[in-house]
This record gives sequence, structure tokens and C-alpha cells, in this order.
Amino acid sequence: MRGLRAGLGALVGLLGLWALAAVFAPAREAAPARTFTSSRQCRECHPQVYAEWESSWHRESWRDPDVVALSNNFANTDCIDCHAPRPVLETGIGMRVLPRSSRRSEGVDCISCHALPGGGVAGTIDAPGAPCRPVATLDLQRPDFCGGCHDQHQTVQQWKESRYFDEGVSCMDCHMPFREGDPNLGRDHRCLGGHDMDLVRSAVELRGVREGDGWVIELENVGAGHSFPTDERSRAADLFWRPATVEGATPAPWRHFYRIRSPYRHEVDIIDNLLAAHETRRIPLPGQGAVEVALYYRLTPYYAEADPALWNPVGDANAFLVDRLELSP
Amino acid sequence: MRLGLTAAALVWTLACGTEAPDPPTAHRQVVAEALAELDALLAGEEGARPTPAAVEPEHVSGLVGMLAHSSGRERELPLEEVRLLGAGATPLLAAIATESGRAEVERAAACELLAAVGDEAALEQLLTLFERAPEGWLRANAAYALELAGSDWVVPRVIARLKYEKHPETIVWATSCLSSVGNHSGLEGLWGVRNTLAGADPALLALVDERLVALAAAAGADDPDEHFRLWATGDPSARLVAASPSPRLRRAAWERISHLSGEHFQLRGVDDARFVLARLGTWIVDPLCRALSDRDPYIRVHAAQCLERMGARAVSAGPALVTALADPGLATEAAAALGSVAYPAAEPALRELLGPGVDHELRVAAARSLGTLGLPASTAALEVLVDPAEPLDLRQAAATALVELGAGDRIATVLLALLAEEGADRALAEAGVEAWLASRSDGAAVSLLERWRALAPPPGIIPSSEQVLERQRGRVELLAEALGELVAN
Repeated sequence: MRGLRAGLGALVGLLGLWALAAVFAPAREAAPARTFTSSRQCRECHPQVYAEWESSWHRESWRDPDVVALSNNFANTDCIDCHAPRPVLETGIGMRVLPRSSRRSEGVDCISCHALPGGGVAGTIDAPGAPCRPVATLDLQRPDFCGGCHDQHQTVQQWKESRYFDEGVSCMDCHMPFREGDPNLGRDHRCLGGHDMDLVRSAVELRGVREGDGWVIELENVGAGHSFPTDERSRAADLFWRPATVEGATPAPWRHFYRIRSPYRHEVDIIDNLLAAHETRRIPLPGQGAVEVALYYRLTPYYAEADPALWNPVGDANAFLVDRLELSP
Repeated sequence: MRLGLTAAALVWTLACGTEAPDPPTAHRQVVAEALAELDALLAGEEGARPTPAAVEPEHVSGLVGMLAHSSGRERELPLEEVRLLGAGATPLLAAIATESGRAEVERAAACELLAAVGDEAALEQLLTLFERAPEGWLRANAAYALELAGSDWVVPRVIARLKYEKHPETIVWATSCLSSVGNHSGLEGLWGVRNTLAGADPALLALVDERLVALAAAAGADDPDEHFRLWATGDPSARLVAASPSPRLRRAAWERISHLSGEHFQLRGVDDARFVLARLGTWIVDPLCRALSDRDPYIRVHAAQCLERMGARAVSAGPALVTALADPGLATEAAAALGSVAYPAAEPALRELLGPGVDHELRVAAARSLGTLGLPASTAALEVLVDPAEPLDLRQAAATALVELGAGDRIATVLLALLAEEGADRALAEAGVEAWLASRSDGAAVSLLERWRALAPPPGIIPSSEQVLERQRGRVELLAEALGELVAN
């Protein structure tokens, strides 16, 4: 009889524990979060975003011919970390990125930014009914989200030292604005940057100031939320001048007189003189009288000629005219 | 009562689900422990440093002049004397070496005298000159002086500078410096100087050739070619003169391993560390294998990458890398490294990772690695993966691997399809076809390969995106036209 009572007691205890467990056990997902093997899987439901990304430089980060050449077709494996990164939310926001093994040819793709650790995607809203079941993730908007790659060249640090940081103007406001300015239309995924000359031209203002018999050129960073240019080694800005062209005469060749650049690691003889956000730099012009001044922006800093006196930006595929002044006393 | 509790625990476990098992590899602070151990060892060896005696600047200046303008046995006198002066002379010599108004021959002599002083502070000054001097000739003299000093702990910093060095003579003397203490990683750069720059400069060519022969002889190799080959393959027959790393060099190496940590945000330090560690010689394999168990996931991942970059020189890491396949945060890099280090015993483990239940990232890495490993046993498993139902990049990794295994003929149509498929890595597809064609000797393949290569841009020219697309379209057409004949052959 005592045995039966003990058995019943144990059974009741077990049932009680089962009920407790059923109530307090962690909730289970109705279905496992989806995992993705290619950003092409996003295209069907997000054609506009996909098309924007397809035309972006993030898309080109693996296959752009300059990148292919400079990385020796990625035989320099150091380049893979940023050019084909693991999902940022997997490595952690504010952490250094890590390279991935799969779908490298898609470069910095949908999965790089939106994949959540363990499956599923980060989005702007919770939508459990959508096929990819996005989870609202405000972290996507943080500048440190971009920083895993872009702060490797101090761009986010430069922004943090600018007034834009205090004003709450962040990376997305310039590089991923709302389409047509309407938040309901979502953000532009072309992620325009240094390859977009309209954006580059909006970053700086070039002025000539008469001082004595000569000129001082003022270059002001009026629009970039970081230095102009940003990014070490790969970018440069050059100032050229020439005497004003008399009507009907052949213009004189451009003469280089100032360069803005951050040195690459081996360049021990170059000073880092990037134009900080809000900074105005005054640069004396070697020429006097009526002159023309041109500001060129370069995607790669190297000219064919080593001697700056021989540099010619006209016709150079990597040099883009940002602004040009005609100055008369 | 005990039965009731056990049953309750069982019920609770069933209801709540099971916890994930602990990772098979126990992670701990490997790097911190190694550094602490070596610090203790070095502190015991070095003891307290005496305060350097004051030295008159004129005295040091006189020694510099004497060395700069003397020859033969006369040069021994200032060298002997500066050794007696010791550490007190170091700051004065460093100042002379950087004095731009001085004659080059005297600044070079100051470097040599720093080497004669030879203590840590003097070598630190030489390393700073070697790393930072804007004048190439001065960096070359600093490298020459570092060789004279003969301390192996400078090796990681010399390698790091060689990553960026462009000045030919500096590359020559830095390579000499490394080789003199048993590190032959500079040979690649030295051969590069010989093959690209030296042809236009007979004096430089003579210097490079003299150094290559001398370094090979000193290392115990028959000739410069053998010297380079033995270094690159890890010297499996132990032909090269063995050098045991000093505690200070091991300390410097572990410090570089610590630079791999996630605590360091900037990739430049990580890149440098990866570069240096992959070139330190076979003795670094053991520390890197230990680092595979570090608590910091970045250190684990990058340690595996360093082993991967070492190639065959790191074959002894094979067993540790196979163990690392069980670490989910490290498996991809471990898989990649196993192919590169050419560890044949890993083939079954890698093949198992090709299965459908495995993480996609890992499947791709394993497929790629099996191609690098190059064992025919992998062929059948890889052929399954070129099925159109498989994800594109997995198909492509498998196809590339099959070409490496010599099975390109069996997947010729797959290679053609990948060349044109939307989303495929076109450059990889082109490389795969080119490797396949190059592996054949029949007339059709040789002829096609010639036309294929003719579409490539001239050396040194970077094509535009449009030119790349045009080239790829042209190659698709070429291959499509010739495929029938190629397959029939």
C-alpha cells in the first residue's frame, strides 16, 4: 500500500513538473528562420532594392577590374575581409569584419548587411508573415554598422569628430537617403559615395582670394561628413593652375601645385593632409595675374608619370574634375 | 525520493530541450599565457640593466669619422672603441645617422657603429631607421647593420617592412639580414628584384646575384634555386642550416599573434601580423596551432589563415587543423588551410563536409580545399556538387576543384555554363577554363587556349568593366564553338 502511494505521489509530482515545464519552457519557433546562400534569393520580393544594389559599388567590390588588378585577383587575401565580409551582425557591430568563403563574387551583398546570426534577416520592421521573416533591427542605421569596413580608413572616426555627429546626421542621411525624400519609400541601396561625382562636388567649395599681387586658394569641406577625400591611399585630390587662356589661343598645360592625400603604409615620405570636415585650407597659388584653377579628384592616386610637374589630369580615366575657377585681378 | 528528482530532471530536460554541447575544443587565453611565460623567462635572463655611462659627443663623432674614412684593419679600431663606450653612445649615433647635413658615408658609418654597440636600444634605433627613414640608401644601410648585429628578434619587424619596401638595395640587405639568422622569407622579394628591376641596372644585378649565391651557400643549399625551393617547401629533408628561435624572437612572434585579436580594430596591424607570421619559418607552426584554441575567435580564425598562407611549410599543422574542424567558428578557415598545407590525411574529413546537412559556407570551403589538396579520391564526391540543384557558388567551387583534380574533361559543359551563368564568379570561371585547357596537350585545346589568351588585356593594363564583359562574351563564344571537338577528343 505504501509503495502504491509513493508511486502515485511520484506520478502526481511528475505531472506537476511537466505542467510547470510546459508553461515556463522557452517558446519554440513555429518554423526555423530561413538561411540564404545568395542575394539573388532576395530579388523576387525586393526587386527595387536588388536593382539598386546591382548598380552599386558594394556589388562591384569583388569584381571591379581595379580591385581585381590591385588585389592580384585576390591572391592578396588581406583584401577579402572587406571585399567579401561575413555578415556584420554575425561578427558584431563595431567589430572588425572577417572574410567569408562563400558567394564571394557577390561582394558586399544583401546577406552581408541583413543576415542575422543563426538564420533570418534584419530589417526595418517585424514581418513574421513575410517569407524572409525580417526582424526590426535599429542597429542597421548605426554608423558603427558601416564602420567594420569603412572605419578601417578612419572614416567613421572622422565623422565622430565632426559637427554632424553632434547634430545626429549620420552615414545613411547622405549615402542611403530615403527615396525621393519619403521615408515610406524606403532607403536608396545604391549607397552612393566617392564614385558619384555629384556627391563629391557637393563636398567641397573652391574659392580664390586676392592677396597682394597673388592669389590664395581656399578649399573648404562644406558637405562631407568626414575628411575630403576619405579612405587611405586609394583617393587623392589635386589642385592645378595655368595662366588664363587668351581667346583663340591654345590653353597652357595644367601645372600641379597641391595634393591632398593620406599615405599608404609604406609611404614614409608623405604627410597625411586630408581636409577634415568643416575645415578651410588656404593654399598660396604660385601664379599671379589672370589664372585658371582646377580641382581634380582621383580614385587612384598614381599618375603615369612619377614627377608631379608632368601630371596631366585631362583625359586621365581616374581623374575627375570637381571644380574650376577663372580668376582675374 | 532520489528517483522522483531524477525523473523530474529528466522531464524538465525533455520539456525545455537540450543545451548545445560544449565546443569540442576547450578555448582558453593561450596567447596571454604564452606571453606571460616568455616575459618571465626573459626577465630572468636579462636582469637589471646598468645605467649607461655618459659619452662625449665629440668622441662619438670622431669614431664615426674614423670609420667612415678608413679601410681594412683600421676600421676595427672605432668599432672596438664604440663597444667599450656601450649604450651611452647609442643616442649620439642615432642622431648622426639621421642628420641630413652629414655626408652619407658618415651616416652609414653611424649605423655600423650602432650594430657594434649591439644592445637592445642600439638595435631599436637601427630598426627605426630601417622602418622609417625616408632615404632608401639609409634604410639599406640600417638593414646591412642589422645583419652585422646578428640578433634574430628583429626578424618580425624586418619582414613587416619588407611587405612594403620598394627600394631594391634595401630589399637586398634586409633579405641578407633575415637569412643570416635562419629566415629565408626575403628570397621571394630578392628574386623579384632580380627578375624585374636588376636587368636595367648591371651593378644591382651583380649585387643581387652575389647575394643569392652567398646566401644559398651560407644556408647549406647547393644553389639559389634550391635555396628558395627548400624554404618554400618547409625544407622537409632538413637540408638548410637549422636556427633555433631565441626567447626574444618567440616573444616577438607571440606578440604578433596577439595583434590578430579582435581587440585590435584596424586591419592594417592584422594584415601585417598575418604577413609576418606566415613567413617566420616552420617553428611558428606550433605556436599557431596552440593559438587555434585561444578564447578570442579572431585569433583562432587568423591563426588558421596564417597556417593556410604558409602552405606546405605548415603541413605539420594538419592534425590540429582537423581537430579545429569541430569548432564551428573556425571550421571554414581550418578547412581552407588543410588543402593549402597539403595534409592528405584530411581528405576524408573534408569530403564529409560536402554533405547537404553541413553549413553552406563550410561546404564551399571544403570543396575548394579538396581541389587544392588534389587527391583523386575526392572526385566522385565533388562531381555530385556540380548538379544544377546545388547553390551556384558551391557548384563553382566544386567545378574549379575538379579541374584541379584533372577531371575537367568530365565537366566541360558545366565549365561552359558557369562562364555564362548570371551571378557566377566570371573571373573564377575563366580561370577554371584556362586551367583545364592548359592541362591538355591536344591540338584543339592548344589552339583554343592561344585564342583564349589573346583576349586577355596586355600586361599592366587594367581593363574597364565593359572591356571585361566583352572579353568574357568572346570567351564564351570561343568555348561554345570548340566544345564539341574538345569533348570528342
